[in-house]
Amino acid sequence: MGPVPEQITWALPKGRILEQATPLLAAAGVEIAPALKSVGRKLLFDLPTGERVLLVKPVDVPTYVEHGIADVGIAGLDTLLEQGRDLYEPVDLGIGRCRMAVAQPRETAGGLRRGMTLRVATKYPRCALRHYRAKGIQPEIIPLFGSVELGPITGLADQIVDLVESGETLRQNALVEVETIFEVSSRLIVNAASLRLKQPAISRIIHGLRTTVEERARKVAASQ
Amino acid sequence: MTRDELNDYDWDSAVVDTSVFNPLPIGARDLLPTTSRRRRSNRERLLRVFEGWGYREITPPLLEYFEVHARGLSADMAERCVRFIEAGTGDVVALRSDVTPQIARVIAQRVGGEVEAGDQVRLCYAATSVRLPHGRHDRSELHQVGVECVGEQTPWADAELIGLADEALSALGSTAHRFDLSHTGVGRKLIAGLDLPKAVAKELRARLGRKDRGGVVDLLGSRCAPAQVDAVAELCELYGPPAILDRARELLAGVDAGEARAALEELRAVVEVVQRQTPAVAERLLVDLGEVRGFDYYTGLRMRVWAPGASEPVVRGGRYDDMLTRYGATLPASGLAIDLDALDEALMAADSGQADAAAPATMLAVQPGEPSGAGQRRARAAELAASLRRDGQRAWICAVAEVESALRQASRRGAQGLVWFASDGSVQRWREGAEGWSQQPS
Repeated sequence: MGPVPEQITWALPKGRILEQATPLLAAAGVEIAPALKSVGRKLLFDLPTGERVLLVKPVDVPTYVEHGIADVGIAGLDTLLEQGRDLYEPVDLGIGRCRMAVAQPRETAGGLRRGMTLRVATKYPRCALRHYRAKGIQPEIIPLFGSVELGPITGLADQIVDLVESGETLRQNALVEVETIFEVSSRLIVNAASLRLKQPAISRIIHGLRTTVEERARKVAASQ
Repeated sequence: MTRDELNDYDWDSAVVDTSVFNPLPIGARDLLPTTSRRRRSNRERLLRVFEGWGYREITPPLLEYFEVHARGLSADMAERCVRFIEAGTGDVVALRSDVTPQIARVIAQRVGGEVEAGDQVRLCYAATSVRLPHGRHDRSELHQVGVECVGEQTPWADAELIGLADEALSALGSTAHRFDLSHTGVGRKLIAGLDLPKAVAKELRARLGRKDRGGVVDLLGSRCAPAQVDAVAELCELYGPPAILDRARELLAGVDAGEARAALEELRAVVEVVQRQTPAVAERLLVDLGEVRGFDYYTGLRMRVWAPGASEPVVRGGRYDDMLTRYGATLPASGLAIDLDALDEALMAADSGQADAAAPATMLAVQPGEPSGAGQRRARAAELAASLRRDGQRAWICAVAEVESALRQASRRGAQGLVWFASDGSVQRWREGAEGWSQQPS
């Protein structure tokens, strides 16, 4: 299954990122706010301007785009680096900013016991493994699907690798951030076949979003 | 979907208990009869086009010594070879994972004999390569039909590949495919000129590969002169109709990158040949200067062909002038391979690429009974089957207990006619029409 000809299909992440993306998309000519209000719980709808929209779980956006079911999508760098997919990522939208970080209990912040296998709880096993291997550490990765902060508190793990935004969740659970692995933001992602077969339309989207993002950055810089 | 198509999906498979046995290794697939027949028809039509352009078919072996085969593979692909130890010698043997190194080996072995200096050799093949499944590329077998052209290093030879791919795809009814052309020299030389540490260069290639302009600027910002950063970052945007080659020329004029400029002009020369010789094909061309993957394989033109409905390129190819050097002969080489699975997806999406219609088929069902009578019925059926086959029809004989089950079986196996040899000696003729099976007057 590849792209539907002559129509641009967007895979958009349900939730917080979508709210931040909506004004950017509108500025670039893709007006989804009215449709979002009127579609109720529908996960697939067409815009009056002709585009099709799929609303999917954020972590699934790259899957839809890589398989060509959607031509373009919006996905966080955390998801992209974890999944390692074959996609184009032409525009950093500058939204959904946070960081992938290592954290551990406050009382061990001075240093972990040496000579043991480091146990790391995370929702991002590949990113975590890459990070530790680069430091010459072979950790035991303990994959979790949520509430990763519980890992060190309960003794399941020594450290966690997780997304950190304000750091408030860490503080409330007596964890401290010890290292930033990489900065995260949301990207426009594009399917490789669509970039060729729908080249003019895709180029318009890329340029529209890039211009919008750059203007925003300039305004922010000017107001500071 | 045609009725034949449905037949493939209807192949009932009994549920297997996978704790007892797994039916197939990960990445292996069966091609069932309808798909398989369409596959054969596509393969043969493509080989006929290649033959028409002077390519002669060869069949290299499925086994190679790993050390020899891997010389012609990229590092990633070498890792994905299926390997084992050869009994008696202890040498490592690999299943073929790419045909191009094999043909390079075949030709290099014959330089000075069958292949004289200055000769051009054109060979084609239909072959299956085996690769360990990897990521979403979970197919372990790659079914390809391809060509290799050895001995010429000119824009005309490169343009020939483009023309050949277009003719081959058009012969199967493809109308909406697009060529995506790049030249490894542009990105490679530009990156080489930056004198980056190896790890940074690798990361740069990864970011260029994703067209992550911001990422490229972040990576190079503090390391290189602004004009150089601009030139490399701009590669992320240099894709589209061939007119972008002019923009690329201006961009490269501003930096010290003579070899990258030469590569760009090589690509331009190829595009111009296609525009002059086959304007209709030129309409399908797109250029992508940010394409930097496949560096350890291609040396010049790199081509991918995309078609609606297929999420992978239907054709991959290009120029690999040091491929034969790896096997001891110095000859330029180029080639292309059509991915039959991706092509099938595209043709199905466009509702073309049907196999030539199969001959009409009749099933002859013989009802068992006491031995001598059954023998006589079987002999009469064999005689009828032979005469149907002489008329160009398909015919086969089955032993079946009841006429109802014979009719069901005939439908499932794609027969339009049934002849029933009952145990009482009577013969019934049945035909399948729009309303199902009906008995014909005898």
